[in-house]
Amino acid sequence: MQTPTVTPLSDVFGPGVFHCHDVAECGEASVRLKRFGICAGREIEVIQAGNPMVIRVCGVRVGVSRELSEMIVVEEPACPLHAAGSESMRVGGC
Amino acid sequence: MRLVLKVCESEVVDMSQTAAKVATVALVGNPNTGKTSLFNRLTGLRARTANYPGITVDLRKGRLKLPNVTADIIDLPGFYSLDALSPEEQVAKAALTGQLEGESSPDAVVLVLDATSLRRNLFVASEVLDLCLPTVVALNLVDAAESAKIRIDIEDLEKELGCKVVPVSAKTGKGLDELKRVLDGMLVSPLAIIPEEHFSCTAGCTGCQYSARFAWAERVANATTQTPETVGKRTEAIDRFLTHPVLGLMAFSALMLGVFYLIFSLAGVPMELIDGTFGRLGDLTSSLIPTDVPPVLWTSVVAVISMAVVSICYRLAEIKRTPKSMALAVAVSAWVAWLPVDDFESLLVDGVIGGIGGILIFLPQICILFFLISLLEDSGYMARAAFVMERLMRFVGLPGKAFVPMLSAHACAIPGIMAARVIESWRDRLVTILVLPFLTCSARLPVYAMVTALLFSDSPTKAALAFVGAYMLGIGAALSSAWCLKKTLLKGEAVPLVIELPAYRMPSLWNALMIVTERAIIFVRQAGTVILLISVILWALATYPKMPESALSVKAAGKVAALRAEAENSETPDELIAQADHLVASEGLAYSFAGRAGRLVEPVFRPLGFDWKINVGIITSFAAREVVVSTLAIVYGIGEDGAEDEKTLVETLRRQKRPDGTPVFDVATGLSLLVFFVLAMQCLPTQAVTKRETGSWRWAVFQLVYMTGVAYVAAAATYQLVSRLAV
Repeated sequence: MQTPTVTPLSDVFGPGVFHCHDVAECGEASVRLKRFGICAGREIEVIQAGNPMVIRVCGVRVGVSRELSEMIVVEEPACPLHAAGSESMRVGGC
Repeated sequence: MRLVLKVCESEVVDMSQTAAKVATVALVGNPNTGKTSLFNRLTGLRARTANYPGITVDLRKGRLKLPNVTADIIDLPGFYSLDALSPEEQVAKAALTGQLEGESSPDAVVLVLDATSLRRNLFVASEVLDLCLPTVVALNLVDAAESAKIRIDIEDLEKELGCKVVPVSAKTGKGLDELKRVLDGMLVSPLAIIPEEHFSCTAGCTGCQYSARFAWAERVANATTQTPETVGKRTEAIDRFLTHPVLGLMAFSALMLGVFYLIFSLAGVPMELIDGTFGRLGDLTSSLIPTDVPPVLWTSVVAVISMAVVSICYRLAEIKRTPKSMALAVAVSAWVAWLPVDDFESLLVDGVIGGIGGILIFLPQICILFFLISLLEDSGYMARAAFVMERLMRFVGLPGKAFVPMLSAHACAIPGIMAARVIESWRDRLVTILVLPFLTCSARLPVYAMVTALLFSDSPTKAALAFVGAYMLGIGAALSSAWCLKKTLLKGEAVPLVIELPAYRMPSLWNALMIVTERAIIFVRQAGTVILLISVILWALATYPKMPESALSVKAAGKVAALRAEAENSETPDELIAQADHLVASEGLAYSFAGRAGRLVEPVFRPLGFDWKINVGIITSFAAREVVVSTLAIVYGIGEDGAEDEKTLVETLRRQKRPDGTPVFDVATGLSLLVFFVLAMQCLPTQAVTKRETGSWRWAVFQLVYMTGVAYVAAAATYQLVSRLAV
């Protein structure tokens, strides 16, 4: 079984569904993320990369600054992401 | 992960006691769930701002009469978690847990959930249900859920949550009767027990409590809701454009341009109407004041009227009747009653009616701006605006969320400062509050209009450019001050943005009108209290000490005598007598405290190109900047009425000469005056609100000092530069 590699969410350049591996503990900043459902074990869908980026968690679109997305560590999908519309990624990822 | 079972214990409450008192019901939920719309539907126009000691956040409270009990509904600020970060969230938490001073926990909770986003909302629901308060869920936006073909099994949801769930639509009013019925039953019966236990992670959890709660929320949402794949497609399509790094900024600029165009194009007619109404009211008041009433009767009647006016002001300002406040009311009434009839008329017409009218004229602009802001907020766009502005704002040390207060500040800095409460970080909130008054509020517009007309009446393009330049200068000063504060006094970066981008919704006109009504009431209340007080003080400073006839300068006395003599043989004596009266009024102003102060500070303002008469305007407008226009009208001898006729005022100002024969209002002085009023604080009510929101006078004084300093330096630089270029 292939071990997924982890990367900061800020390094993601295209749409896709990611598994949240960890959120760096950084006082209020991590609390702010976790309150939105951005915490270990949950799925994060990147809709629009950049700074700030648009993600979807718990069915809600959330705008996140680069400074915060750097704190979010996600597992890269085992197969390469395709840059097609995010909708196809929502249900099954790759 | 070990999940701990938490069972809420029952609490038996005396039914008779519960039924006899006014029950307290808290309206809670995530932001953007339509909570305020539901509050407005339940309480109508009976809402009022509830002030609690020790907190700066205003909570809206409204009374709801149910069949068997009366309830006070409190609209708590929306929150994402009971791990509260912003002041608003902290207040919501304190209110729910009975930690507000003098308040116990609410008798019941109406938990508002968004039917179109149940998975997201159930996180907060899990935290609120853990408080074990009697709770009813108002499943709002069911109309939107139905049109999106989202199906929710209400019975299953009730079982999962362990409390009654009522589908409602705050927009259409659907389900409100059922909600009231359930609430009534809950308040008169022994408090309901939440029969079903639900998982929580608040005690003994070794893992992440957020993850556990979200997992629970997801499971409940999946078990009770069927959501078609098409949900969110429209929002996604619109957001490809509105959150795009380039197109989003262009759309933002176009929208802001549209907002300001609507404000200026729609507000003209009602502003003229208010202006005319107050003008006629002043004339009517003058004509109604009798001149041949016996002094005793006059004094008694005026004292009674004055006491009545002061009582109304106390009521508006919510000032309690204490021995001190009553003694002050009696002293003020006695002073007014002993005024000579002429002074009384002047106080009433120039001080009270003129002062209040001068403020209320901006009401249409403020109402239109808040109406549009409310529509934009309701539609979901405001979060996108904060999103696209994030990078620019963070560069200067402001958070993206500061955008909304900055937009409000373009109507009036006070609601802007109050809107800064949504910003979580104290540093970010403080920087936002400190720079907001630089933005062009409605009160600056008369000054801009006067100066641009004075300098560029022959060129509408130049006048428009000066107007736009003044706006840009204000925005630039706010942003650069924020950057300076970031580098010096308030070091550090703004807290990075994480913001919900809610689904786009059709805004509710009803809700927008309710918000505008509330804002208008607050504004009018302020005009009837703080502004009235300032107006009366300024009137007194500009009126006393009264100048005896013998103190009139030789030149002025000669001119007055000549005008009066000419009037006797003229076909238009009224005009000549009015000119003589205005000349006397001008000399009287020079003799008054305000006039003396203007001369005293002449050396200070000389580098800005201001003479003592302009200084009087600067001094009298210290508390409210718009007062400068009417002051200049008086000080240059055209009377209060002249200020209403822009042409008369501008022509008169243009004719003014310095002792060396050069015009007082040349381009350098005009631009210097404009720059000064763009940047100077000159608003006492804003200072009071800064003190309230920051908790000390220290920041209010700092704001006054640094803004005045910036205004002084910038105006002096403008005058010196332009006058040298002109030479």
